[in-house]
Amino acid sequence: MPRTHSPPPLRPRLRGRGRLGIAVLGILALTACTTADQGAIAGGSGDDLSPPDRTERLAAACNGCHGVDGSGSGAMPALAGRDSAFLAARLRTWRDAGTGSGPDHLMVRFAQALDDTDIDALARHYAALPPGTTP
Amino acid sequence: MTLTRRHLLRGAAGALALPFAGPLRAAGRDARVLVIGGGFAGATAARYLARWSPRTRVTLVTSPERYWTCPFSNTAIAGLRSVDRLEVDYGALAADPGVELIRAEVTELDPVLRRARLADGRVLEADRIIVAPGIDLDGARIDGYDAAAAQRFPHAWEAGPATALLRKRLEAVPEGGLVIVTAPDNPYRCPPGPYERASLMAWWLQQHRPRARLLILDAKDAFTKDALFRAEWQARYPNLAWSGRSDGATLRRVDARAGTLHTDFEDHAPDLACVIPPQRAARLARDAGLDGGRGWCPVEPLAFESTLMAGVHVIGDAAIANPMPKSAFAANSQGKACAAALAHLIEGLPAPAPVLMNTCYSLVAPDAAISIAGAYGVRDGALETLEGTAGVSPAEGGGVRAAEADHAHGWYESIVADAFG
Repeated sequence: MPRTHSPPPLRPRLRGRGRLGIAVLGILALTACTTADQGAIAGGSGDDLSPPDRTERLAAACNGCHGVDGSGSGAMPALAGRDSAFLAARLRTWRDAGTGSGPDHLMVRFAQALDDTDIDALARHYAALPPGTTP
Repeated sequence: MTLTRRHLLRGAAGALALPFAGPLRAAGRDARVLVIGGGFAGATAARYLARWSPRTRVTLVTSPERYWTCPFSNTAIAGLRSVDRLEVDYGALAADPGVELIRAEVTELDPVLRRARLADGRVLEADRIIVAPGIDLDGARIDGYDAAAAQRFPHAWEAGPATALLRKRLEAVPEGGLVIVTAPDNPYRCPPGPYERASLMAWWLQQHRPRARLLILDAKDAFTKDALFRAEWQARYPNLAWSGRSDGATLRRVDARAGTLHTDFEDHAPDLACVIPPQRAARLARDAGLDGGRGWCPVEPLAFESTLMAGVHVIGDAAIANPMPKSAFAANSQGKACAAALAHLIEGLPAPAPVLMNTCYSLVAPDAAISIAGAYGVRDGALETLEGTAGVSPAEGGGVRAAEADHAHGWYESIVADAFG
C-alpha cells in the first residue's frame, strides 16, 4: 500500500557531515571489532548520521548466517577480511549457476536477488572488515 | 486500558490519510523509539536501530522472565543439547550503550498516544513503537483444550521448562509405545518445526525404543519441505507415519483426563502426545487493536508499520508478512528492515526498499539437515518472493545432508549473536 503521507523529520538532520561520518564509521568499525566490544554492534557509537545504505542493509542480512559483521561461526564461513575479488567471483558464480547441488544452494538463491553493483559493493564491504575467527 | 471506537478510528485515519505529526515530539530533540518484546524480532530491531540511528533513544522492554530460543529447542527434546544452552543471555543487550534495556512486563499499550505502561507503574512514551510480542497459543478451536490438556499433551512451542517437560515425557515412553505429534493449520510459528520435532523424536525412539511408533496428525495436506521430509522419513524412520487433513487427521477434541486425542476420523490413546495448538498474535498486540480482530497484525511492507495504527510497527511472528514464514530468521530480518526504515524516517527520508530474507534449517537426524531459503521484495504495496530466490535443499548427494547439519549449527550461533549480542 503506498503511503499517502511523508512523516516530517523527528529531529533536524545535521548537514555536511556525511562523508566525514562514513570515514569515522569505518575507523570505529575496525576498532570496535578488534577490541573487547561490550555487546554493541560495531559502528553503533559512530558519529555517522546517515541511514544505512543498501550495502549495509544487504550485509546485515548476510550476518544472520555468517555472524556479526561476517565474522563466521562454525561451518558458516567468515566473510570479513576475504579478498574482494574472491567474494565477488563466488557471488557471480552462484548467481549465474541458477541451481545448487550442495549446501551452498542457499547462496544460489540469495544471489538471484543481487545485481552487479550489489555484488561489488558487498565484496568491498567484507574485504574491508578485519578477518573473523573462522578460517 | 479499553480502546474506544474513537481511538480506533483515529488510529485508522492516521494510518491512511493524516500526516504523521508525532504528538510527543519536542522540537529539536532526538527521536525516541520504544521496542516491546526482546525475542529475535525486537532485540534485533533495537540493536540495529541503535547502530543505524545512533542519536535515537532506543528503549527495549522485555519480560523479566528467563527466555530460551525456540530454534534448536527440538534438539533438546531429543537429548542432543541441554535446555540450558538455549537460554538467551541479555547481558550484551544490557551493556549495549545504544539501547536502554528494561526487564518488565508491559501491562497496557496505547497505540494512539504511543504510550506503554509497565507492571511497576512506569509509563513510557515514544515517537514510534515497535511491537514484537510473539504469539499466544489458541486452544479454543480444539474442544477440551485447557491448562490440564496443555500439561498432559505438552506443546513446548515456547521453549524452556516446557521443552524439558517434553524431553522427560519422551524418556518415559515405554518400548512399543505410541507417540503422537499434532501440527496445526497455517499460519503458525515455525512452519517446519513440527516435522523437525517429529524427526528428532523418531530418531531418539529408534535408538532407545526401537519398537515404538510415532504418528503425525496434521491439520494440513501439505507442509513446508514436505517432499524432503517424507523422503528422509521413508529412508530413516519406518516407524514414523504421517496423516493429513484429507485423511481426517485434523485434531478436534482432546481429553486430558483420559489422555485421548480425537480427530475427524478416529480416536487415539497415545503414551505421549505433543499437541501443538493453533496460534495468534500475542495478547498485548490484540488488546491494542493491532490485529483488527483477525488474530494477526496487518502491516505495510516497507517499515512494517501497522495499517491500523499509525506510528506503531509490528514485526516478527505477530505480523502478517506473507509470503515470509513466521521464523526466527524472518523475525531477525524484519527487525533490521524496520530499523533501517525508521533510521530513514527519523531523518525525514522515505523508507527504502526493504532487504528481507529467510533461511530455515531443519534437522532430520542429529547429523542431517534440510533447508529452505527465500528473499522478498515489495510489489504493488505487498510483499512478494523475489524471482528465483525460493528453494529447498537438493536431493541427497555428496554428503549435502551432513554438511547442512554443520551449517545449521553455525546458523544458530550466528543468528543468536546477531539478535542478542
